[in-house]
Amino acid sequence: MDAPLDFRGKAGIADRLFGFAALAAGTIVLVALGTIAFTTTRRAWPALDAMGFDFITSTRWAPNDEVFGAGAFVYGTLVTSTIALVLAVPVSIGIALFTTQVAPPRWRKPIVYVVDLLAVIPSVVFGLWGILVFSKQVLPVYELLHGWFGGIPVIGALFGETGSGRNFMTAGIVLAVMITPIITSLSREVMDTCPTTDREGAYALGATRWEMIRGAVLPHSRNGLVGAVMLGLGRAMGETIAVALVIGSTVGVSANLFAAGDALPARIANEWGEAEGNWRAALVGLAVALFVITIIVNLAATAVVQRTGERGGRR
Amino acid sequence: MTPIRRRSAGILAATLALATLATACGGSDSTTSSSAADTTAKEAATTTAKRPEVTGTLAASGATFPKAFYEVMIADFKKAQPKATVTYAGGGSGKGRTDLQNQVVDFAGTDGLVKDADKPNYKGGEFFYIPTVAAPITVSYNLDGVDKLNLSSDTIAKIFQRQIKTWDDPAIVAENPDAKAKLTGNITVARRSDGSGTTENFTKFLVKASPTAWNLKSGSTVEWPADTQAGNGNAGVAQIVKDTKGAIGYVDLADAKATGLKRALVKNKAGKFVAPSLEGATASLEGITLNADLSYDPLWADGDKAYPITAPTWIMVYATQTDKVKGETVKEFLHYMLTDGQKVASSVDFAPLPASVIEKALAQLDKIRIPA
Amino acid sequence: MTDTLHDGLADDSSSTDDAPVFVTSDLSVYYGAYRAVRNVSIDIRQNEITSFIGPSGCGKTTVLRCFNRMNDLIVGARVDGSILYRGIDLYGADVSAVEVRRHIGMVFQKPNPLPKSIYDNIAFGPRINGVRKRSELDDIVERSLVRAALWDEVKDRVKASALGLSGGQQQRLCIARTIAVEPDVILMDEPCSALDPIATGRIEELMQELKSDYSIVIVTHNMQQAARVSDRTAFFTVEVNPESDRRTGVLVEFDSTKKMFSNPADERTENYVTGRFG
Repeated sequence: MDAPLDFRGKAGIADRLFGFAALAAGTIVLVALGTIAFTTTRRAWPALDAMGFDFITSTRWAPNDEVFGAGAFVYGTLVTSTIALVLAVPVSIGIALFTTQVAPPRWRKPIVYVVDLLAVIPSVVFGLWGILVFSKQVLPVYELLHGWFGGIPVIGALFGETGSGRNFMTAGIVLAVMITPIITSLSREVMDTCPTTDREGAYALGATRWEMIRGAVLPHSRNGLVGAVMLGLGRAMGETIAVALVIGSTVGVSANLFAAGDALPARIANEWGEAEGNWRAALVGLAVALFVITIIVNLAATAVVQRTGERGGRR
Repeated sequence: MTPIRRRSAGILAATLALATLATACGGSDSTTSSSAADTTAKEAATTTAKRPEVTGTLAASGATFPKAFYEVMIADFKKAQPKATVTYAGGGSGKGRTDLQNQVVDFAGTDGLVKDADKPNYKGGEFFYIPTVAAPITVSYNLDGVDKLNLSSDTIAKIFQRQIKTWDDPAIVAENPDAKAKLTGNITVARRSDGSGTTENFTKFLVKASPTAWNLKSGSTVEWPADTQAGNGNAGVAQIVKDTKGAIGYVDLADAKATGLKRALVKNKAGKFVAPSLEGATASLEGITLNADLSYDPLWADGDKAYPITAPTWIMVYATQTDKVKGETVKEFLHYMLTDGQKVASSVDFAPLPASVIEKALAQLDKIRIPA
Repeated sequence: MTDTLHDGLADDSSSTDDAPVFVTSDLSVYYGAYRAVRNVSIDIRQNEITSFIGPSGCGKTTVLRCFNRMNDLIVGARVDGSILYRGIDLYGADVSAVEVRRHIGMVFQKPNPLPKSIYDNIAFGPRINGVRKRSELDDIVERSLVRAALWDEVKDRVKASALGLSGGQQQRLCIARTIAVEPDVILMDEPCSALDPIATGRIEELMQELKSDYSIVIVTHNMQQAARVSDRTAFFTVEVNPESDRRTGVLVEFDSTKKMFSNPADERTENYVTGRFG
């Protein structure tokens, strides 16, 4: 014990460096986001300026008349994403529950593997499958649904006449297939983190498996599940090629899910090559609109999580 | 304004041999090798003197309509000039023009012309249009038992605007009295989902030929009625026509042939129904007037044999090049395309240009200024 | 089937007060091929607190978890021998583990309230048993919290998250939750090991109060706790197979707590309770 005590430590510099690096990383994200928002808005400005508020509200898109209304594409994006979520969320959470809570352990790996495999299929493959196979084979189903529900007031409007297999519904279904692996994968991860003690607590009260899931696993995973759904929604709203191939590429707003329409990113992809001047600016404007919608949806989801969080369990 | 007249001459056998060779290499299913088309090209291409070696690497983008031809050109040019490299990215005429404006490519392919208002945006200053090839756009259909279908531009306009919805419409029957019994069922209209030079030329044709019947104007995309079906690219439209009984759509000749579609005869300005073919396209080119900047309009052309929906395409290049090596390479590549290249155009279903146009184009090439 | 179990119980419990609640004979528990506990025979009596003590790995928790078939949840777990609960074979072919757990509640080592409000934690059990009426649930929640000596502390915030409570409060909430389904037996697996001495004291008091209505089995590491609260004590230890190095839990001695801590029959028990071992 001859050496003088030295309490200064070497962690000081490393810690400060780490803190700085973390701060820098965080800042870069914000700066990147801000830069994207700014530069895209600036490039879209000529069209936004010319169209004013009509850019969002108008549903007329006529490049050869210099009229650019994004309304129909905003509508198409929202409708197809909604269909995708309505179809994908129950299935994904079902698969996740099955793999984490129900399936015998030796089945889990193969199921997880197959579902994850879906996630790595490039979207153009889904699109081509959609256009070459699915959109044709699903047509009789659409006609059947139209026959069953078409006559019912209000709901019937959703199940109108079907022209071709390329429409909102097909796009929504293809998107659902695409986002299912993402939502499943993330849901599975959060469900796996549900502590055994929580699950045993519910079981010890005489819960069946389903009651245990409702009482322990789902409340525990709620935030993570909302996050998983939001990521899926983000992919659905941003998906370009697959949607471009199967949505029908028609400028139109229709309650009929079997009508052709178009979505924001698909329209950009379809017209970017030929567009110049204000038309090009308007296409960038579509990107800005997509950006804004994504942010709004995410903020709304966060708000929902927080509100239910205060009512429910999580502090 | 220079009227062009075809001078016919040429060695048919040699051309056929060349075309066959190119076909074998390219794997395309070309069958046509018309004497009219080939002789015009042949004549211009007779001057195959030894060319200077060039070494530049060129990047280009633009129209997809002539991409198949340019790809053949790039591969052949590589054989003639092993040290030069050319890439053509496609992406659409608008992209090509925007890229050239911003000088991110060395030349651009375009199916349409630059608006006067946009010309000052070109950072490299003055540019030239170099016409390369032309091609017919077919009106293809799927109708059992009807192997020959005559359509006038007014009827086409009404069909694509969904005013005529059934095949037994009097307007169609009047043009096809012999096929009356087979003209039944609903019409499905297939059109492009993406912006396209094909759409632009097809709608320009309708504006020009049927200004009263057609009211959707022209452009690389137009406001199609909602009950039309959209396909991606020529292949996508061709697929819809192939898959759907009663469908009709506009498709370039190469894809229409590759998909095995039946192609309508379109009534031309002289009142004759003409089948889409390279001969018909060449005949259209004979009736054109070539502007001073080498722009021209082969749509709705004069002449008994002219196919009225013949689309032009150009390569745009700056008049003043900034890089010596690249400038020489661009010049040499275009020279190749206008001479030897014309001989293989028909193998990928493009019509070669008439000799007089080639002459003007070569003269224009000579005006490209290259730094010493 | 679940109802027959229930009916059978009601008849038995009223008539035979002296009969043991559990009769365990020659119980062995396997995890796959590995035998974790062997040949345990033990009787648990009504309205008594029975404690299981012993060194780590002696199988006391494993045995406890057999009483409400919690081991069913572990893949590969298997039971040999028999446990009769008021005359019914708990591992009988037509006995449902879910129904068993509705009669035999459990409190765990680590407080494990569900990520819900205090109210919903307690109402969870009654709800899955079919209680739907709001007023009835309100009653049960209040009664259970009062019984678990938590009501005064949380009555103003029963709608707040259960995760906001302190560790001791959470554990009493877990006890209240268990009481809410009106079980016959409460199993406690080291319920105080995560708590400070004051919170531990309160739980021990609570156990004494609950004894009049419930039979309680508690696993504890803390010998003083066993001595303080329990009527009977079972001492388990570990046998190590010298060849395979496999460790198997065995029951050494089971008697009244007084005897176990003052005059045990087995030397191993004496060594353990006097602190010379483990």
